[in-house]
Amino acid sequence: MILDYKDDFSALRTALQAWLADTLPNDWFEHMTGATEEDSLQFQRDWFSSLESEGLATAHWPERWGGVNLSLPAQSIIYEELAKVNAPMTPAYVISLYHLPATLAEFGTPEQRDRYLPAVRNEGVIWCQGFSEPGAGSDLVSLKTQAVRDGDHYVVNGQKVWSSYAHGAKHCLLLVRTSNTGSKHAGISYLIVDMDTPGIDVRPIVQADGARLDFAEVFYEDVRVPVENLIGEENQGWQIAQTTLAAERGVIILEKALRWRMQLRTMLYEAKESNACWLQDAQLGREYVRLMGKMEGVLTLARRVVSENELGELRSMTPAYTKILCSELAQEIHSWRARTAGIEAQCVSPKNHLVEITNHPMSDYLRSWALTISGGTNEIMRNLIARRDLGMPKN
Amino acid sequence: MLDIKEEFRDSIASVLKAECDNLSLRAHVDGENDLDLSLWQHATQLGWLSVMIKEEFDGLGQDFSMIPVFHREFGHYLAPGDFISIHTFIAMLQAINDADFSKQYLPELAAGHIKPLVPVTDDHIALELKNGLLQGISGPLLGPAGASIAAVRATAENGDPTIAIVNTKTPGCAIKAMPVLDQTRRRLCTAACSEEQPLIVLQDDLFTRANSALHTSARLATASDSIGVGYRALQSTVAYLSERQQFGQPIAAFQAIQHRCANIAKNLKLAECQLAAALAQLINGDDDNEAWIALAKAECDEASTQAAAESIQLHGGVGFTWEYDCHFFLHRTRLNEQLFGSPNNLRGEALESFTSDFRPTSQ
Repeated sequence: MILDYKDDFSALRTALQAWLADTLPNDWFEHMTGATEEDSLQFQRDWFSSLESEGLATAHWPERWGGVNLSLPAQSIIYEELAKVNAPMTPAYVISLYHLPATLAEFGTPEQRDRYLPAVRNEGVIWCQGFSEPGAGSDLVSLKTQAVRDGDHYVVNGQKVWSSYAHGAKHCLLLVRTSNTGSKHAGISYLIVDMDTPGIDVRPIVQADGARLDFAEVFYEDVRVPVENLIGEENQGWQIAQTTLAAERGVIILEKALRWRMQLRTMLYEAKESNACWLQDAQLGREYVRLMGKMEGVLTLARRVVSENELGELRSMTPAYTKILCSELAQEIHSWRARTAGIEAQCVSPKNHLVEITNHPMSDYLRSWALTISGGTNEIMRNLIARRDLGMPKN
Repeated sequence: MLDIKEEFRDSIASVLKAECDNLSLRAHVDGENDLDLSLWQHATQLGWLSVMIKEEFDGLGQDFSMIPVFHREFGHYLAPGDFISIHTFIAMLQAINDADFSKQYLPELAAGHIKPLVPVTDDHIALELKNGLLQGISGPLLGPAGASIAAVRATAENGDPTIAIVNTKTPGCAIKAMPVLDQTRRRLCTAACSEEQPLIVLQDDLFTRANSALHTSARLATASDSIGVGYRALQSTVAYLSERQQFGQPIAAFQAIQHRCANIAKNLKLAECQLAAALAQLINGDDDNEAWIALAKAECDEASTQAAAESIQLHGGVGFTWEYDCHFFLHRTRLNEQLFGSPNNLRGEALESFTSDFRPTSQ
C-alpha cells in the first residue's frame, strides 16, 4: 500500500508516481474533454474508487474511520503528485470527504458515524449540503425551511439553494428551523436527509458558464425524516454548522492552491517551449510572474490554515484572509488567461469538467466567481477582518 | 531557531519603543537630536550589526532569517539609521569570502567602527574602470556621507558590470550627499571618483556572488521595512478612525471604511506571507530563490505604499498635515519602492530568471 510510506516522504512520492503511472489512463484528459456532465460525474465516481483502493482520498481521516490521520506534509505530497500529472479532480466528493466527517466527528452519534463514514469509503457515496435559501444567503441564520416534529419523524417543508451535486447525492446535510421563539440562532437544527425520500424535488440551476450539474435548488414538501437523523441536539444546529463551515476552510483550499501553482509553472514552461507570443510582451510577462509570486504567499497561508486547524485554533482570522486572497488570485489568474488567449478564448470549444484549470480560460474565469461568492462572500470576510482582526466597531 | 528570532525581535522592539517614540523621531527630523547615532550605539552594544557575521570574525553567525526580523521593527518605528546598508555590505563581504578582506573589515564592521555605502540601483554606466582606476560618478548609494568604505557599480574595460570597493577617505574619492524627501532617512549619496584605486574589484564569478548577496540581503531588508511601515500605517489609521466621530458615531463603524481597511490588511498579509515563503526558499537553497525574493519585495513595497496612501485619504484633512504621520509612511514606502529594484524591474528580472532556467516540477 502507498500509505505504508506515509512517514518516508521521498518513498511516498515515488510510490505515488508509480501508482499514478499505472492507474491513470494516459488518454483520460482527451477522453473526458467534451464529455457530458453525466459522464464526467461517472468518471469522478470511478476515479474516486481508484483513489480509495489505496485509501488516498480519505487518508486525512482519523484511523478509527479507516483513514491514516495523514500529516500535513504527506497530504501536500499527495496533492502535489496529483497536480503534477493533472489528475482528475473530484469536486462531487467535497462534502463527503471534508464537511461530513468534521461534523459527525464532533456531534454525530456512534451509530451515525458507523453508518455513514464507511459508506463514503467503500461505496463512494456522494453527499450534498442544504444550507442557503433564497432569503438566507450571507444572512444564513434567517433560514426558514421548517421541520416540525410528528411522532418519531420530522416533517420538512421549504426550499434550499446552491446545493452542489444535489442530483447525484444520496444524502444531504440539512439545516432547518425547529423553533421560532427566542433568538434566530437558537432555533436551528441539523438533519441528515436521504435524497430519495418522497417529497424532495431537485432542480438543476444552470450556471453562468452553461454547466448544469454543479448547482441545484432543492424543494422539500412534507418530507419525513426519522428523528434518529438529527445531528446533535434539537436547536443546536447553528453551533454544529460552524464546525461544518470550518472544514471548508482547510485542506480543500490547499489542494486547489497546489493545483494552481503547478499549472502556473507548467504554463510558463510550455509558453517558453512553444515561444508563445505573450512572452514577447514584457507587460504580460511581468503580470504573469506577479501571479506566480502571489501564489507562493497564498500557499503559505493555506498551509497555515491547515496547521492551525490541527492545533484547534478556531478563532484565528487566517481562514478569512486565505478565503479572500485565494479566490481573488484565482480570478486574477483566469482573467489574465482569458485576456491573453485572445479571440480564441471567446470561441466555443469542448470542455473538460474535471480539472482545476481547463483548456477553456473564459469558462474558468466565469466559474471563478463561485470562489469569491461561495463559502461566505468576500464582503462578509471583509466584515470579519475589519471587526474581529482590526477591532473596528459594529455600525 | 524560533527562540533566537523572538529574542532578537524583543530586544530590538524594546530599544525602539523606548528610544524611537514619535516625539523623539520628530525631534530628529527637526535636527534636534542624534537619534540615528544613539540607535547605532545600541546596535553595536547589542550585536545587531554582527548578527549575520560568522563567529570567527566576532559575529553571531546567524543566517538571512534575522534580516526581516530586524528591519520590520525598524520600519514599524520609522527608525532612522544606516542599517540596511551595513547588513547588505556585510552579506556581500561574506559572499566574496576573501580571507584577508574579511579579516580586515568584518570585525570593524561588527563593532560599528566603519560605516559603508552600497549601491541602490543596478546602474553602472557613469563610473568606469580604466587601467584598474575608477573614473566618473557612481549611481545613488545608501549610507551616510561620512561612510569610510563604499561598494560602487562600475563598468569594466570590456563592458562587463563590476562592483568595486573603495576607501572613501582617499583624495580620489569624494562622497556627496543627495537629500531625499523621506525625512526619516534624509539622504542618499554619490561617489565621484578621479583615478581612484579600488581596494578590490569584483568581476565574473566574484561579481555574481557579491551581486546576488547584495540583492538578497538588501531586498529582504527593504521589503521587511516596508511591511513594518505598512502595518504601522494601518494600525495608526484604524486607531484614528475609531476615535474620529462624524454623524454621531466613530467613522470606523462605517462599512465602506471597514472594507478599505480590510483590503489594506489582506494585501499586507499576502505580501508578508510571500516574503516568508521567499525567505524559506532562500534558506532551503531552492532554485530561483533570488527571483522569488524579487517578486516578494515588489509585493511588499506595493502593499505598504497602498497602506500609506490609504492612510492619508482615510484620515481626511488631517492626513495631509505635517502634524500627522501619514506623510512619513508614504515617503518611506515610496523610497523603498525605488531602492534595490522597482516593482516593475523586479518582475522583469524574475521573468527573465524563470524563462532562462525554470522547470515546472521544481518544488
